[in-house]
Amino acid sequence: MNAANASPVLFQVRDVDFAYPRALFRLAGASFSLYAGQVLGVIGPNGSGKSTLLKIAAGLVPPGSGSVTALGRDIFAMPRRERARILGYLPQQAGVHLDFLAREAVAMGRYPHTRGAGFLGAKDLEVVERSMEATDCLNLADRLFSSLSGGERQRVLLASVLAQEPRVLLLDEPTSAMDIHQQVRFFRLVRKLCTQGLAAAVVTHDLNLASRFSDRLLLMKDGRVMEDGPPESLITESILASAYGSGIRVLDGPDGRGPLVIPDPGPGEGEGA
Amino acid sequence: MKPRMLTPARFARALAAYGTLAAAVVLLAPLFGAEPLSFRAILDAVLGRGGSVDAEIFLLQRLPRVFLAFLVGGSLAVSGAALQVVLKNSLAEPFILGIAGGGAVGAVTAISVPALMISIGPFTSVHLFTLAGCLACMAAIYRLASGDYGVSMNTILLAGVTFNVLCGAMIMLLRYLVSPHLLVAMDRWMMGGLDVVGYRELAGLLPFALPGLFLLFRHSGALNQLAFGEELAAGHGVDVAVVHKQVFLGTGLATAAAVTMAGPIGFVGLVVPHAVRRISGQDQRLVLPASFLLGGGFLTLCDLCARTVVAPTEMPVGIITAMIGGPVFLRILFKSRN
Ligand SMILES: Nc1ncnc2c1ncn2[C@@H]1O[C@H](COP(=O)(O)OP(=O)(O)OP(=O)(O)O)[C@@H](O)[C@H]1O
Ligand SMILES: [Mg+2]
Repeated sequence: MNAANASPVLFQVRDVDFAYPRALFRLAGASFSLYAGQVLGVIGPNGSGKSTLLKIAAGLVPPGSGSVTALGRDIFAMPRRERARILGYLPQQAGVHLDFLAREAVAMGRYPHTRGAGFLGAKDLEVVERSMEATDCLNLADRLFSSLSGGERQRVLLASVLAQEPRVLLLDEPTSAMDIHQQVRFFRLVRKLCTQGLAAAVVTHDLNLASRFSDRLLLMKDGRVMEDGPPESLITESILASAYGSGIRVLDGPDGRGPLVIPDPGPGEGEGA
Repeated sequence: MKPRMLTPARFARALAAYGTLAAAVVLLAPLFGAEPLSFRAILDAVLGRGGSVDAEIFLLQRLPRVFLAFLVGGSLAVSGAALQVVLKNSLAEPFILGIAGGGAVGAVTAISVPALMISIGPFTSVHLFTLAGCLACMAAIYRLASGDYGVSMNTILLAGVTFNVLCGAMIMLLRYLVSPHLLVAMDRWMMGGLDVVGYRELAGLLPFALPGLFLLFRHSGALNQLAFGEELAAGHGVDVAVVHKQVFLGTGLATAAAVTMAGPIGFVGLVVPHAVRRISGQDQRLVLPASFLLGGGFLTLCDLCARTVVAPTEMPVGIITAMIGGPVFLRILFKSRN
């Protein structure tokens, strides 16, 4: 889309329109591409359509119009399991309805690789352990999932997505409950996976994480893609103010690695602008 | 018990244990009953060394009845287990779908209007109307719940509860209108029972029960995936809409078959899956077949009590399942609190 991209396009959402039945919200003409080796940060205010866009991208709901292709193929024409071997989708919210062990939860990510009764072979189990190691949850493996904290749960479910061994990651606020160390750890992991040839789209409300770890940012607003470009060009006070509203300050980062976003407490006693 | 992951070896061991238990019940239950039977005489007849009354009772009355009890108990338990997962409600049981309510209206209608007395093969008008009622209810709920994204499990739950209330009202109306001597027959049906059964009734039930059970077993692995919500399941490659649809159809068919032959027998579909989960963990690939075996065995035993406790008459088996099932369920609840 922007600049000359040497790396191949793994995934493309083109001109997607979508409306929930009996709801006002409209997703209109949304497009983005994911390139091998690159992280796309998806940002935007609450209700701007980030999760909706990702659900469509993951094939959970078909769009009203437009197309979604992975490795050049229409994802809605693919068998589900085959699609799940290419796309790894982590929803913004997950339930806990049956009490499984954390390791069992991660093992569920092997579903698209199994047949019949779905028992795991040695290779599957190895992938499960490796995925848990990657998200730092080996020590949680034998705990009941329901007994884990919010951030621990996110790491376990993330591991289950990695266990799918996908080429493309579509992650909806994967770090929203994590502490800062785990957030950094997570984004470093995604970067590392991308250097191995994956492509990733990560929704987050943490603009600093998004801008520091993403190759490109997608800024959503009111169901539209408002901006799509490199973090330096997107993280400016005027763009963020028109997307989110007031209360955001942008500073030059002291380490020369891009801008920093900080909250503006406003003018003391008086009401904020 | 310390939870562990389900491996093929553990799966096989657990199923072998449940299977042995079930087989023992099925083999022993027909030997007991109101009439004491001579094991020798039965063995002689089976080996082709001349028939006897004992052998006839065993082969033509008790054995089909035991098979029916097993199939009905198993179907209800598997249906309950699957519904508890898709409805995300541990109190779900097959009758929550409103299907049994439709069946009851059918049965009561057939009993109220003796002019409707027809029979096809071994099936009386009560059977036929019950089945028709179940299937009609199931179709109506399915239509109501089908929406933009497959069937909505929430709507199924609400519609099912509402249908049960509606059907209850219709039954009251019919009871109010009919001549009082028919009420006894209605009450008897409501209590559930497995009497008057031959192999032909059993065979007539299979076209409904088997496809239903097949649909449920087929999705046992996918049911596990629903543990973390439909969205993650879909991301892992499960076609959630298809699973919802087929689990609804599967439980509907299996329940319709069970209710048609045995009336509304409560508690099996609720208690047995919970017992299995406590014994064997949460993996639905094991919970479903184990529920079938334990549910079948449980209802067979309850029916054995029904046949023997007040011999020479019989008790409605529904009373016994509730009397045993209720306390067992409370105990499970109590134990998991601590
Ligand atoms: N199932 C639904 N039915 C109707 N409207 C919905 C549904 N899901 C979401 N919406 C609406 O669609 C809009 C976009 O929702 P979406 O979840 O995509 O926002 P988001 O950008 O992910 O927000 P957040 O940052 O809060 O996660 C919102 O206005 C929301 O109310
Ligand atoms: Mg969202």
